[in-house]
Amino acid sequence: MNAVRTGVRWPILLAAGVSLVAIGCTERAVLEVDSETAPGQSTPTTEIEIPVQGMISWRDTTYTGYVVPLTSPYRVVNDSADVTSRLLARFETIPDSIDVGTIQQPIEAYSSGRFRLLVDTATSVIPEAGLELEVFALTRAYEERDATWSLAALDEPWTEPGGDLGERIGALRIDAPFDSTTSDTLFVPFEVSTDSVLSNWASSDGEPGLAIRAVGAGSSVDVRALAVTFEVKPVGQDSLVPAARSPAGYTVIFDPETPPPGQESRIGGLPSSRIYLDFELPETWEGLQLKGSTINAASLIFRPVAPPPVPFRLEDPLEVISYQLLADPFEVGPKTPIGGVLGPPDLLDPEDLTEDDAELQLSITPLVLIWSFAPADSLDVLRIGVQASPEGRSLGFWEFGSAEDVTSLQPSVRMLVTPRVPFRLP
Amino acid sequence: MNRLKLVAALLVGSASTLAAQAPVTSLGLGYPVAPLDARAAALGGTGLGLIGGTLSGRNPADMRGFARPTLGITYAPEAVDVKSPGESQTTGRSRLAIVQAVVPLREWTVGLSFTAGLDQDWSVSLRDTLQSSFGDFPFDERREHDGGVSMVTLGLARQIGDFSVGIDGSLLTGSLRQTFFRRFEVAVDDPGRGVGSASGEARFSWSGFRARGGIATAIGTRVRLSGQIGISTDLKATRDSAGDAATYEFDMPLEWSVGGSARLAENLLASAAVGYADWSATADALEGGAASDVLWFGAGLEYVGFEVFGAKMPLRAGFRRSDLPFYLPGEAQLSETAGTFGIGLEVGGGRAAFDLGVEIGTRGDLESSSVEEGFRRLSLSMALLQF
Repeated sequence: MNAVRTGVRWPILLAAGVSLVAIGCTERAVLEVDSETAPGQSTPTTEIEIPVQGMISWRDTTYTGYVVPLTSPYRVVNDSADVTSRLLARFETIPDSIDVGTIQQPIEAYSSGRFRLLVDTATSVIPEAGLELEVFALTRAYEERDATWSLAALDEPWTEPGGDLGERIGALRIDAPFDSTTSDTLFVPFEVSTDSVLSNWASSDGEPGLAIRAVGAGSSVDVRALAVTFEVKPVGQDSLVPAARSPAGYTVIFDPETPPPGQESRIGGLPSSRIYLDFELPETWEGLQLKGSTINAASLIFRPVAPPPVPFRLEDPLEVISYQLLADPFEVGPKTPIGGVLGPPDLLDPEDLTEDDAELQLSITPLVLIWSFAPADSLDVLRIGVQASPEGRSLGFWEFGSAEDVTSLQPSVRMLVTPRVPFRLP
Repeated sequence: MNRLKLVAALLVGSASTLAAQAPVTSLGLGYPVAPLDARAAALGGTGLGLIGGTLSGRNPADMRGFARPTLGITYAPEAVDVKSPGESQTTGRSRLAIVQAVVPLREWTVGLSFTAGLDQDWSVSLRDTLQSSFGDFPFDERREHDGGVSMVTLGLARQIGDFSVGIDGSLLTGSLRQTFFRRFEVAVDDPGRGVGSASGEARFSWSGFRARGGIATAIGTRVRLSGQIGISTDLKATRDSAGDAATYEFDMPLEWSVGGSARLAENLLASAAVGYADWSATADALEGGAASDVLWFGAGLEYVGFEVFGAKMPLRAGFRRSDLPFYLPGEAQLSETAGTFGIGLEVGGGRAAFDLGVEIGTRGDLESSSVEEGFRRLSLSMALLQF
């Protein structure tokens, strides 16, 4: 009996003991402190930078004209020592008849004409002496895609640079400070016969158009929207009917004109510029195997040159993106089709760009990673485009060293590389 | 260009803990697992010439110890304390030590078994920071080996006069998967910036053959003696994962062992065994490790004096010591010592048996071999007799 009683307790003690031992049998990784002495095989992650001369090939260029004043939201009328700019527009849809009830009646006369401008008061500058906003009829038609300060159209210069201004249609005096507490909308009344101006525009589809300028040293008026409002008198009617129209051919011309890109690579500006480049990475660099290795990170490095002159010097930070080009940009040209974006945007801050050793670092990791593991000869040349995002918001741009510059300014590719682990048995 | 800054010391202890915390399964070809059932494990890891039969795979001649068809399985997890100066980390390992079926056919006995041979499972993790012009990125690194060498053994034993004679042949098989994974966190000073992870993997297949011969005999009714000797072909490893093809060959040892048991009294059994393996021949093939010969011995006592609901419940205790074949170059060879104990329980009128063995011991010595582990192994065996 004694033995049996003793034995009955054993299973309980045994179960407790087994449980305690089993709890400690969970497999978990041993935490090590030193990569060199820890067991197993590893490989370091190494940072390298490959200059243009280290590439099998490298080409870069700047293409311009992706966003032009016609397609840009930049609608600033300037009168400053650095830049003078004017808005050009046409009112192509001035009506010659109007619905009165269910009847379409010809218009007998136009009256009470004025231009309505929606102004960004936060970015506009009204000098202490105030300014005058003037609207002129142009005496020469312009081609909005090609119009510049000196050209009315391609190969057709203005008689006077800045547009051939004719009769002043309207003007508005704006005193500083601008009172935006009530409204951001300005009305520039016609100084001349509304009927005369609008009848002409109605019969000529708005040609040759108008120009808006600011007069007042240091003034800058950021126009977000423009319209003309007026009243019409239908034939046989005594009452006046209010009407409004928006312009077409709406563009901006400025002086000085944006200098064309030279040897340097350019991002931004108006017309906007992009850097297109292609290069072939070596399979090894300073003894480090690149092809077949994990590329943890890869970036294009651009080094800024001296800032461009005012007004083309970038004033506000600009986001820059890089993306894959889907064809050879040196064969297809500016219209090379673009692929996916290669990384998050990098901020181009003009304050940082003037510091010593400043650089623009743009991620191209996905493309280089694909290159690393791509079969031989399937992806030799990496083609990349770099641009501001969004483009054409201001006249400002920045330039960087290209492959043709001195070595210290040339671009390069910086990478974090983890080579393949050479798994071996002990 | 880049510098690796050691910050892990802050996470795992003092900065003085720079010695490697190498699990023994990471040394050489791994940790040799003895083919023991729970009864043999509790009796000091003997397993040779045990009166009453053993489902250990020490000697094919011992299969004659079973008068009835028998199927046994032994599962042997262990908790491990991997030690470094002033520090210890607990992990665990799980092994299916042996599965064996024995079928007596008149004077013949046929056996088929699966045994763990070399345990190569381990994993370590590191924490560090990569400093680069892209930013400073903390990272976790994990290195892992998963697999080992197992043996599938077909054995044959025959009674010749007073002697049991056995032979067996074992296919050495299995695989080893090596993995490496480094995961970077976002930059310390810019949570919006990150870099990609890195990983790698390789797989090797093991192959080889081992042949053994053994003999056992009873001296009267109270003593049984047993001995065996085995030789192996080279252990071959073939890399079968993508990448560079590679083949490795390792000398495998000539092994012998002898042992036996004696019934000292009606309820008291003593067992002892000793063995040897010339693993030093493997040293030449090891690039990053050293190997030396192995001598092992163990002894134990079994007392059958308790019953539970009418079933016998033997109590066992023992001690064992064994050299371990693989160690770090330039360091001392490791040895393993353990105190053992356990119990058994026969149920179903002897148709089934459950055994439990517990081994508590240490391996290596931090000062002399730079590797040390404490362990608590639990062996659980279940046998179906006349299945």
